[in-house]
Amino acid sequence: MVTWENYEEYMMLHADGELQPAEAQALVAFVSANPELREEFEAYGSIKLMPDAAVVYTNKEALLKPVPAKRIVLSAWQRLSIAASVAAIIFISLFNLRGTGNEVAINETEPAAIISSLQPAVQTPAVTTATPAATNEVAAIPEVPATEMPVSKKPTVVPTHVPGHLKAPLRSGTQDPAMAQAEQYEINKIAVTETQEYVLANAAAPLAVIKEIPGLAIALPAAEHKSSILDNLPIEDIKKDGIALMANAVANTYRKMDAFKHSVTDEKNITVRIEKKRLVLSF
Amino acid sequence: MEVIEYNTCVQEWADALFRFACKCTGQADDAHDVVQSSFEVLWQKRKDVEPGKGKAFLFQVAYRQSVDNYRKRSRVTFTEAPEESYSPGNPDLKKILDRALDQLDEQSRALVLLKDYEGYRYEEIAQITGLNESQVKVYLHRARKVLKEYLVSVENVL
Repeated sequence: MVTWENYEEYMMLHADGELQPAEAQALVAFVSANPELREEFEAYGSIKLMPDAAVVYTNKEALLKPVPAKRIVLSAWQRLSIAASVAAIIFISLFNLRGTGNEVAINETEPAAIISSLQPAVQTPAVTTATPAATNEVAAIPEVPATEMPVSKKPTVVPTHVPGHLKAPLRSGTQDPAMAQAEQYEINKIAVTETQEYVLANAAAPLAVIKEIPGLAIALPAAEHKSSILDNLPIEDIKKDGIALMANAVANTYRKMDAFKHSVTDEKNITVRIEKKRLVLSF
Repeated sequence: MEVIEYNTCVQEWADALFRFACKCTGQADDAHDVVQSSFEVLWQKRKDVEPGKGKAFLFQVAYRQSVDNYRKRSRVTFTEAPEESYSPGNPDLKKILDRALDQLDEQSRALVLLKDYEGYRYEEIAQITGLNESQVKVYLHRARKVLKEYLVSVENVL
């Protein structure tokens, strides 16, 4: 409440801008009620100093400091995402560079199919490199021209000497047709078994063990040379067989991966055939 | 406070600090020194100054240098302020107020300048000057009374 005792303090507080609106209204009302205080009230209101905007500091440039170059700091997830993006681009680029084939049929049971294909070879000595399973798959999906598995490229081809071996003449020289047929069947059965072992071993890698097959010795000089590397190793035969099986598995895996890399059909789709099913990955 | 914020303080408050120092020291050259040293202290202490507190820090340093140092040296000789080309309101009243301001001691003059020029409240002025709020209020009211009496006496003469 503004009184004669405190009105001057109220006036100075008003000049300092420290009064609340209600207090300012009370002061104005008190001055209005006491006109003799108006001159003093206006004097306090007129002594408020105002800054001169023309007075400026002219040497600001000397006070400014150079701003250091902005450094971009990436967070951990940003760095990981960039690294993953670069890896993905490289991966896709490699696929595009090598992806000349349109579709590749991957036969998971190809070695078995090859072996099974040899079974009718007892009756028909000619052994073809195209497996019946693969042929059936290509025929099952005619709309997609399937590329033959690189069976013809791998060294699992049973050369023409096998039929020759299978066509070996009768050893006993018997004249009985029934006995001769039975004897021929036994010979062919042994030959098929030996051929299966050869295929399993030779389908793998340079270190594959090639069993001693009399008829194959002349026809596969390169294979003999490769097998001699393993044969000359000072290890037991059972270990050599184990190494051969491992090499076979590695070679099969490598062949499947190589076929898979050729399975990119275009930039946006990857088509993979597994058995009789076709898997199309679209991006 | 980073470099960018420091430079922002230079752009925004160098002029106000210079005007404050001019009125406190009465010398433009001294005011230049006060401004330069105030920003130098701000630069050295920038790591300790929170963003947004730069202005108060600058006026705190300038107040100490303008009031304390110049008062101790007794070298404050009030001369005419730098040439003023702009005079808000009545030019005669402004000159009278400038002369009235010269009647105040350094501390009261600084308080009035902080109040009228920069619009600081009592609490903020207390933080800048190191006084308590009651002291600020009392000193300011004394200064107001001196200014009012000088203004009334001059008007009576005129």
